[in-house]
Amino acid sequence: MTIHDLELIDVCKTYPDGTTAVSDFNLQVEPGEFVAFLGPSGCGKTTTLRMIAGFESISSGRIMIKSKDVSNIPPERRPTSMIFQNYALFPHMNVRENIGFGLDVKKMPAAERDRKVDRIMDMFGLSELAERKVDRLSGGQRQRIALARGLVVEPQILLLDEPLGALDANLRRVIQNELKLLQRELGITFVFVTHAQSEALGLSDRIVVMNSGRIEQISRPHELYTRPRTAFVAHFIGSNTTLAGSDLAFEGENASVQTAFGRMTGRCSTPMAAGAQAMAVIPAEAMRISAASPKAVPTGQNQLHGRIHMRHAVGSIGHFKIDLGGGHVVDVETSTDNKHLMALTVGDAVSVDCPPERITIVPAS
Amino acid sequence: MEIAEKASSGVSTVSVRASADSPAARRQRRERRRAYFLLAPGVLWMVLFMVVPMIMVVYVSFWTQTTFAIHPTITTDSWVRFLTSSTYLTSTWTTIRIWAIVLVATLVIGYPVALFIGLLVRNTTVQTTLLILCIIPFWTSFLIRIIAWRPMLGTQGAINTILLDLHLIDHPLRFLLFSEFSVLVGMTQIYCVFMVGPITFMLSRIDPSIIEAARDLGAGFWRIFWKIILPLSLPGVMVGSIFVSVMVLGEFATAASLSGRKVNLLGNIIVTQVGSLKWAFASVAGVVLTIIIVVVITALLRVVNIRKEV
Repeated sequence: MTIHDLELIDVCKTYPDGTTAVSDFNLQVEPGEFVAFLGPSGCGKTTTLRMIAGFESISSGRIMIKSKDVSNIPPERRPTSMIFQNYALFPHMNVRENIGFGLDVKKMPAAERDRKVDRIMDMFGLSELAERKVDRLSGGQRQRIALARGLVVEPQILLLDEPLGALDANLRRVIQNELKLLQRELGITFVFVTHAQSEALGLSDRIVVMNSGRIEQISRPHELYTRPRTAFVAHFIGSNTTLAGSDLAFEGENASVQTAFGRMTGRCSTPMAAGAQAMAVIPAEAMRISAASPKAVPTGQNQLHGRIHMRHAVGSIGHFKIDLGGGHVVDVETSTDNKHLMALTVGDAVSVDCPPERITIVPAS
Repeated sequence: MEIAEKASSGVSTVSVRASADSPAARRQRRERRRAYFLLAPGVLWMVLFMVVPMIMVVYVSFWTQTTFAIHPTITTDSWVRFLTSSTYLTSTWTTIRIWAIVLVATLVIGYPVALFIGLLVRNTTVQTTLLILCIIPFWTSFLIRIIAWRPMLGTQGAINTILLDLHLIDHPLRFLLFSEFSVLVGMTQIYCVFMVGPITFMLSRIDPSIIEAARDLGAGFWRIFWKIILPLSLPGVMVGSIFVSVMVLGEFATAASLSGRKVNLLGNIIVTQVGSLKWAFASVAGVVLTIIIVVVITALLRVVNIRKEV
């Protein structure tokens, strides 16, 4: 049996009033992995993180850290460090005292403690601020202090609750890169919670997408982006158009569903039965757009016809909304380099198509 | 205060004579007038009812007091009498001793209550309800609250009766009432809530995630209490201590009705002397009391700089 750094087995959380926050949560985290819990607010991702830290009790199931059951161990005795969303620095202590707190708790001799605190302050560029009170520092500095305070005690797992949430957009990008480098350098397991897909996709080795207390999908970022397994993930990640259909049929490695706009052919991301209700997920950036003419795509595969409803360009990406009729609109993204396409205006009749390998068929929600 | 400072600093920047009538200078003058106007009522009140009476009390303490009259001939007779009489020095010492014991007692009893309401109860409705319960005794008169201790502490009072019935004692405990003990009990009960309030306020402002962060780093309850909760609640402790100190040091009613005349505080001396029209002597006691209060508050403010903390 391999030793996982962190293992959650059938973890459930039910509050006394009967509401279920998390149910049937199963996850194995390898040593040194960077895992993100991603989902909308209220999906149970923070509750799960707090259960791993020990701040929330679990209603059933088990939590194992390095094959040791920690389900009934209080947070102060778990080998985890948590980075709080608001950093939770001790406001009456200076930077050095904040970082040294965890080592004082361990009754570490003062000389050794100071050496460790100095080293980590140096690593995070905090040495200049050592004697400063924490409430006079900027968000980025406070973030680094929180990380230093959590890491100096050498936890086996670092838990981060929306660590970038309180920072402005530019700083967020800087700290995001720092986090990634830091994790690679230290090699310890990071579990972090976020509601921003760009953070999860950019930082993590694996992403756990959660919705209403349940896991929707656990995948590597690229796979999550290209092969969503549920309608929820398809809507939540990337900018996809979904077309509901029925009569699922298989042909080689392809599957197709009958939608209101013809048969859409793609690949199944999860096992399904022939004839089932299903949904075609079409990524906006995979669609090709062309002025409407019957000879455009000879095969006629995955072709949709409509009129341009809206268009605008952001930098190098042109965004189109194509009205297919009947209240269905598809999003299409193209490069603005294509002058021919950018000449199209609202109301023009166009056709769009997408290669089958870029379309994913998921079970109907 | 701040407004006045702003106004005066503004004036110094417009010192150039030529620009005295510029719109900016006129606006500065208008703002300064408004600042003084806003300050005036408060300053007037304090001068009329605080500064002037204080000066009068100090002045009167040097007047000549005869058995039946008092006249404004300056003398130190009253001061000499106060500082050489063992009765008055003893009562000064009693005042300080009772203040110290009551301060510690209200803190020791009040802090856990505040800890419960401010930190353990996180529901604000329940918090408010509990605080209101703390002030319910104030709906009855101060004297009734004190005198209510008599049937509790008396020789045939509730406590003695219960202890006798349980055969824990053979004779009623006599030290319970009309003693320093009963004064301490009465004062602690009455002033405890003034300690609970400010501490609860400070504790309820502590971000719960700070305590979680300390736990996460391995700290147990006592370390979290000494290193996190207590330091963060100190401003509340200081404000509560100032409330309790000011009220206990000026006390006379509790001692008068629960001590059986055995405990004489400076407040009791002032009441007695004023009652027998010994104004000069009452003034001496008043000045001594004021000095003690100023020293106590200054010392408390030294411990925690409240303006910096809040």
